Amino acid sequence: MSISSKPTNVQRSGTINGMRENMKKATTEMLVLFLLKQRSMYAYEMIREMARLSDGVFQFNTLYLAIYRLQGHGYVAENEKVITENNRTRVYFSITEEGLVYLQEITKEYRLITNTIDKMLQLDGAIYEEDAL
Amino acid sequence: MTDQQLRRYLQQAGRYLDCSREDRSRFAQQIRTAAAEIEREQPGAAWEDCLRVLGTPQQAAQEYMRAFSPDSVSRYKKQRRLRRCASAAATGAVIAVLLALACYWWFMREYTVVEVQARFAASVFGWILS
Repeated sequence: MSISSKPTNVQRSGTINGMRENMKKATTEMLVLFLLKQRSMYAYEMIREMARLSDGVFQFNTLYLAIYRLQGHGYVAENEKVITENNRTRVYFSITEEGLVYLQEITKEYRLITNTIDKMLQLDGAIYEEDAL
Repeated sequence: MTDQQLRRYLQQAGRYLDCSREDRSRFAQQIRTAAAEIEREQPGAAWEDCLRVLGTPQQAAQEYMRAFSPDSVSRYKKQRRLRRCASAAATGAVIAVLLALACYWWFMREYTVVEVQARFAASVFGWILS
């Protein structure tokens, strides 16, 4: 499954774009927390790493707002501010204890949902064979 | 990106924000912070590249609104509807009063002049006689 990086306003149900956007929305928080669990990062770095680790499949826009939302919930916190050699200030985020617990819970929920869907899809054409006979 | 592009972006996103002024202000602050970081990391980046990171105004607003419960959103929408109705009613009342005053002045203006002249003439005549 590839997710387009081009911004789109089409989020209607019944379209592939709509499904992509909904799936991205559903997994953004989990993936941000997953990345921050590996190490502290600044926001732009997270966007870059997300694209790199997914081989370009995931190119999230609106990641900044997701990060700030997680910060509001207390799952993510500002770790440190670093001034680079180019005099740029980078704000590094890290996952909190509450964030680790939340990540564990949503990862478990994600695996339950995706495994269930996979199981159902594997039964394609075989669910009602007995009725047909 | 320019200030004008950012202002237009925030204006367009504002159409999709169903929240208080304070929350809108917070949204604007978050977008400005994100835009500043994009500018730092990619100096001179094209606006389209920034949009790829920020999302379209609608996407950004919808992402921001995910933090709000459906109850608080519908409560805000109801309050906004009431405020708009009250504002429309007040505007209508003011216009009606002004129109009424204008009509009163239009129809009574002749009578007012005659009355003043008559009173003045009567008071002068009365003084002369006395």
